[in-house]
Amino acid sequence: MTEVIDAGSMRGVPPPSDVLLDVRNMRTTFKVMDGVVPAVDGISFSLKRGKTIGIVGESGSGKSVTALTIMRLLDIPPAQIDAASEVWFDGREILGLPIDQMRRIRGNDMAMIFQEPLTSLNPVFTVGDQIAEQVRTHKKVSKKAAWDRAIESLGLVGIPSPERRVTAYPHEMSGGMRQRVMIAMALSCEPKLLIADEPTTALDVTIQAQILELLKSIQQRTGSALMLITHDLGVVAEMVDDVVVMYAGEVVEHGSVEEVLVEPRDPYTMGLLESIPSVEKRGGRLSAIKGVVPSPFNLPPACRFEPRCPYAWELCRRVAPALNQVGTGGRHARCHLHTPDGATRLRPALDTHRVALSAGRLMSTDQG
Amino acid sequence: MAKYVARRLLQAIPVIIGISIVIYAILLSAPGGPLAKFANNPKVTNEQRAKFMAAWGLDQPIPVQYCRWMGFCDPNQPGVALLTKSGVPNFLPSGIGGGDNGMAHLSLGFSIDTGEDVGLLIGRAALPTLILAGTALIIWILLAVLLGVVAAVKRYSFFDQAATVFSYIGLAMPTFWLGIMLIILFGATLKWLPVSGMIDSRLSPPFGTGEYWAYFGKAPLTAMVDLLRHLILPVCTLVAVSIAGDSRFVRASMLEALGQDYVRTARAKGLSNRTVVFRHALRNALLPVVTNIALEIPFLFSGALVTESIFSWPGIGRLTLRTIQSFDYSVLMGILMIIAVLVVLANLLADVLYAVVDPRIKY
Amino acid sequence: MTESRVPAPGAAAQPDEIERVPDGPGADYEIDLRSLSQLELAWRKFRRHRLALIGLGLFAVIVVAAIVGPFLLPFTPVPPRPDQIVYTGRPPSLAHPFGETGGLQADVLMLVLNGARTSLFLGVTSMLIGVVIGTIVGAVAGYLGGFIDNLLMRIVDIMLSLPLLFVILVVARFFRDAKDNVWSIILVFGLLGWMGVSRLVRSLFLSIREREFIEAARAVGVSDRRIIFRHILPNALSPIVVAASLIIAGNIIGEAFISFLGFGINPSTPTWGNVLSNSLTFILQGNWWWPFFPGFAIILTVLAINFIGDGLRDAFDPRSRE
Repeated sequence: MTEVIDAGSMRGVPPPSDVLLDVRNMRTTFKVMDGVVPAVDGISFSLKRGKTIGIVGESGSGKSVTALTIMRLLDIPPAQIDAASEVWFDGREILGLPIDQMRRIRGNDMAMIFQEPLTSLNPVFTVGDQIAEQVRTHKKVSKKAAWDRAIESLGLVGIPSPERRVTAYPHEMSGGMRQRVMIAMALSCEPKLLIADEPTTALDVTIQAQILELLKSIQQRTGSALMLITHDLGVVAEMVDDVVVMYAGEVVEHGSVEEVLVEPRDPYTMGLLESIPSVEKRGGRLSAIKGVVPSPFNLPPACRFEPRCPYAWELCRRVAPALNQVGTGGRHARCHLHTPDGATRLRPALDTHRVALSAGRLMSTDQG
Repeated sequence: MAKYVARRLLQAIPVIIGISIVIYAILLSAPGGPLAKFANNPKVTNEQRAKFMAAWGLDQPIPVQYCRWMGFCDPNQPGVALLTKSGVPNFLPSGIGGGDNGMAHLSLGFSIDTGEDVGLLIGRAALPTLILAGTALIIWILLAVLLGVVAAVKRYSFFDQAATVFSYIGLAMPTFWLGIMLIILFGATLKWLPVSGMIDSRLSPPFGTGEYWAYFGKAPLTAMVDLLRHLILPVCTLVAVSIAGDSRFVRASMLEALGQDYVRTARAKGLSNRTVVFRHALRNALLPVVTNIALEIPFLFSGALVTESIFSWPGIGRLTLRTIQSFDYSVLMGILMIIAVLVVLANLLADVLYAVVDPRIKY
Repeated sequence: MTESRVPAPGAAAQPDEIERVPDGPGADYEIDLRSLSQLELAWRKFRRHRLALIGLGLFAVIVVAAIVGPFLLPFTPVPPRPDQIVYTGRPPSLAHPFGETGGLQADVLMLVLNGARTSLFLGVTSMLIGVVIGTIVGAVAGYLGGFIDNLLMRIVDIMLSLPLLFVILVVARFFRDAKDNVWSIILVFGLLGWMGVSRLVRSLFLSIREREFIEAARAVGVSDRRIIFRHILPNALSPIVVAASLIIAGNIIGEAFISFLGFGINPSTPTWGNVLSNSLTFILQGNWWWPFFPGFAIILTVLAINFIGDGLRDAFDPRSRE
């Protein structure tokens, strides 16, 4: 995992060349009727070329807004990106780019797949038209060549008889097929970064597996980097190298996928893992993180997770924790447990978590 | 699709027949009628009135009159006479011995006021109305779409707010009031534009006559300019209110399209703003607009009614008003039936157009 | 089955911290359910709409003028004068703020105020008639469905195919010569204006009927009539109210239309429409104030109603944010 860059000291300096995407101190706010909402409140992470990263969080955690900010697809009047935020892509800072240059990157070097395949395709144009359009926008090729590329892309995503399907309209296809078309469209110009925002949430479980398989194989084949946004920990486990966990607009934990999912170090992540229902936990109460996600207008004054945290103490209500280093690798967690003040509480907390996770297993042995 | 159209046309027939019955019944069942023009004239004797009624068949019961109007009853015989004198059913073509009256033979009868063939009468009034309504339709569509799209794209800008004010006021304004104000402003005060008729009688013969076309052939440019000058105010009056309403509709439709997911996808593809707005969003936004406009075409005719009256435009509108005042049943029935058919066709057109532009619709 | 209980956390944490809902700063955000009644919610949203408030104010002014005005400036038929064919009237002045008409030289302001009373009364009453009929028809069709629904909607379709022209026709045919035909015109507009409302109500009923709470009511055994009036109608009320406001405006303009063509209310009762109609005679001689002020009054009234209607629509729309 890349070192977390102390965003403040590296302003204006491009990251090393093997880092494709470097998000520094991203802060995006929305002006709404009742005030200003900080949807993304100072997050930083980076992604190396050809690697995969998963952004995990509940609805409202700010993960989609992160992606939209990177792609600069937000409407700027209601949305506002803080001047101190920087996003470096392929050696260039893109938040400050003039919009027409950004358009040359979008769909070309950086592509995005959205959550709702049923409404994300234009209903009045054929599938082939929409793919070819993207190709023609970014590459100077003839109509025929673009059309062929469309057929080719459809084939790459596993659509049978692509040369026939290419003249179909979106409403003539199922949800899974449409999502494949979206992926085909995103890949048509061979992007260096593919952002997938909850690509399977709206699909049936069996189709989900297929689409994820597809994404994985494509990513491996083309060598593009993949940023996968999801709320589903299971998906993340299968697909990515590194994980960033978001809560209420902040990064609360990141590390490699093995580290974060097997040995989480932030109470929120722990809670998430504990609440996964599993076959082994039969008969017990479903455990959930108590409380609800805070309203953005009424964020807790210090640690945002404190009201729901089983390990919180009065320090957590006074001082907001920083993203503290955990151990010696590139792991970080936003929790006081990893500071000297929390040192004595760390072990017991981890023990509690371990017990909660394995409670089901004890149970099943009891049942016999 | 062809089957759908055929089916709709067949379904329309009973509706149209139903409408004709209703209209006919209402027209004839109230007191008064074509005799009203003799009401205050003491020189017309009762005998003459009776002869008049008999000559026009107005003394027959209403169902009989209707039957004759439809062409199933022979008007030359009293009562319900389904067979002609030669024993052939009346609705068959006259060549075979059937009658020559009524809808079955495509005849609308004769005007009680002037005796002219109703079809010819209406036909003569049709061209001016077509010119007026046709020009109005084109301008209406172009301006409504243009205004609506620009207002949506430049949302909240000064243009948008001005357009919104304009639409609000336009929707609140009776069309004829606008016409009157325009006449006062451009006709009486500024004297820039003519305010009545289709042509300047000092320059050219009355419109539509043989002499007029001869004149047109000799001096086409002058004639066209004259015609256009006379068209301006009536067309403005006719379309102002419609544009006001429709531009808001276009704006709303456009805004809705711009908020759709596929627009976000289009932007994510890196397409230029112009492509996103005019190719992706507009195409979808126009779907409901197209049907809306098709459905509003019949309203052009009621608008023409008033406009033709204010500007003395010799079209169907003015004809209608005249015949309503004198209760000239034949002409009135003819006009109303034509309008009813047009309304039905306009509805059908709206549905067909919808299927044509939206690939999701299949009949 | 033994209930599994997560053992208490480590020594430092207090045992009951897991169970109770946490206290202290920031706790309020968890429960933010100050529920407002639907009406209160709607009023709050309406209040935010500046145009709607302007419309409301404007409409209030107009109504007051319509009620009070005719007392201050009663409608007095003016005696005929010898030069009435050529007298073109006098422009606005201090004595006659809206000017004087040509012909019989009546005060235009007086005509406008008196006309306001008739026109508004006509607009509102005919709307009520139309809305009541339309709601009943639509409710029955929407709720019962099937054959009745089909039959009623066919009738609606046929009636809708008859253009405005037809309205004029009917009026001309039956009522033109009546001395006092205000109620006749009201009836005509009411009886010919219910179709739109019936379609609206029908589709509302069709969609609400399928909602779960109706199924629940039926499962419990609530009678059909009670379901229609106590359960479905209150939910359908808001779009009906919005539509009703627009119908008032439409009827006012409609009355002006047919009066203008000479088929409307007898001039012995002034309305904005027939005042406008009479004003045509002298416009080419430059008398602009006679047609202008009644027309302007119509515009202001309809504008006000449209603004209110827009505000109402936004206020009742569950999707627009609080």
